[in-house]
Amino acid sequence: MPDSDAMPRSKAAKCLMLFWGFFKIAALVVGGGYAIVPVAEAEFTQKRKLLDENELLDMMAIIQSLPGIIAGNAALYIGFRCAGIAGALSALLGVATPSVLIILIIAIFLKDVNLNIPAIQGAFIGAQAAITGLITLTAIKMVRKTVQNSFTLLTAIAAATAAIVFKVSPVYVILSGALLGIIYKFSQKPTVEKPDAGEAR
Amino acid sequence: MKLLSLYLLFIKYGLLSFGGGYVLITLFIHDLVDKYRFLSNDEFANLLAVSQMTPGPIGVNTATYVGFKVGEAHGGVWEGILCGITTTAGLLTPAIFLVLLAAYYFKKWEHNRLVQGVLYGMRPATLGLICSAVLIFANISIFTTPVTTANVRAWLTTEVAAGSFGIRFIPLAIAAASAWVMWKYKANVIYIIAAAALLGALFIR
Repeated sequence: MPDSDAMPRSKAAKCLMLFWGFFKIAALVVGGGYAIVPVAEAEFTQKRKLLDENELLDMMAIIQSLPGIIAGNAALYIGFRCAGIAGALSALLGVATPSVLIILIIAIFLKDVNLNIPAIQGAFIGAQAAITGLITLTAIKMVRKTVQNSFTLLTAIAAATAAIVFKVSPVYVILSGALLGIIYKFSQKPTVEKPDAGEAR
Repeated sequence: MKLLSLYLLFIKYGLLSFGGGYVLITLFIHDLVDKYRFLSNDEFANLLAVSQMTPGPIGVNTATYVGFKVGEAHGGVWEGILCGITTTAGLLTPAIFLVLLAAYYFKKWEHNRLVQGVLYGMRPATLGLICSAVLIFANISIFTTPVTTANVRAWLTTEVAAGSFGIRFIPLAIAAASAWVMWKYKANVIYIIAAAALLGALFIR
């Protein structure tokens, strides 16, 4: 897949691109669900211009409010936005295939696999470190795009505090944010809403 | 028979896994180890280590592994493979319907004032969660002792304080270099992670 390509035209080519894109992501990204954020930002916001930063946040909010594996849900959402149901299923298949292959190979052939080899541990930590750097960069970009007034700033700080200090589940953090957003929007005069909605899109 | 009941069981886990794969671990211990006795405690601990140390979403890795073990114990390697695929498919099935419905209706109603309000608050909340994830990833890769509420409290109240906190410089350098390469050259993120893993394998001890 060339580096600078936009979305291909035909549906089959889109599905193939989605499958291969998510296959690579799942084959290389180690660790929890948020690792998908910088990767999706680079692949689908920067490179292919499919979702802007706000749409990426919408996606993360929606998929975390639903049950399911975060990477799988992200694949379904992005795949659906690009190429409908076929795209969603291709992307999901791409996410699941590397895991299934790798785990089956380990389970069948490496029964007593010892993962405490320093090189494997080092590779794992190295990948996690890269994700730390990339996720920080993505977060900074998103702050610049999303935090426009004291409401958004305070909500973001409150959400981070709730998650880090009080270990509140992401589902409740997002639902509380949604509730605050409704209260904020409806407490504004309707005339204020139009330019606001325009700049959010 | 067995395949269908495994599939249905993992559909249940797919429906219950709010907030990603980590929730599944508690569910799996409760059900698969304690209730159905598909796996022993040791087998589960080993499985968890493998799932976390291999690429891919932890939930999917764990589901495949559990399915394989159950099938293998029952009828050998081929049945193991079949069961591994079945459990993974079960885990992912509910999301197909839920995410597609959400994506479809969200697009349809995005100009509705209520939906606008929901998004207006959800975006910064999600951003806060992503910022908190920076700490989660830094804790496993860069800091020698995780920065948690309990540890910070201990550092603030005891004299031994700063002694146990430390930064591992090679991971820090890898993190900084990754962000810099991404920002400056817009390099392919997959290559950055692959290069970081290679550097880690060679230099992190």
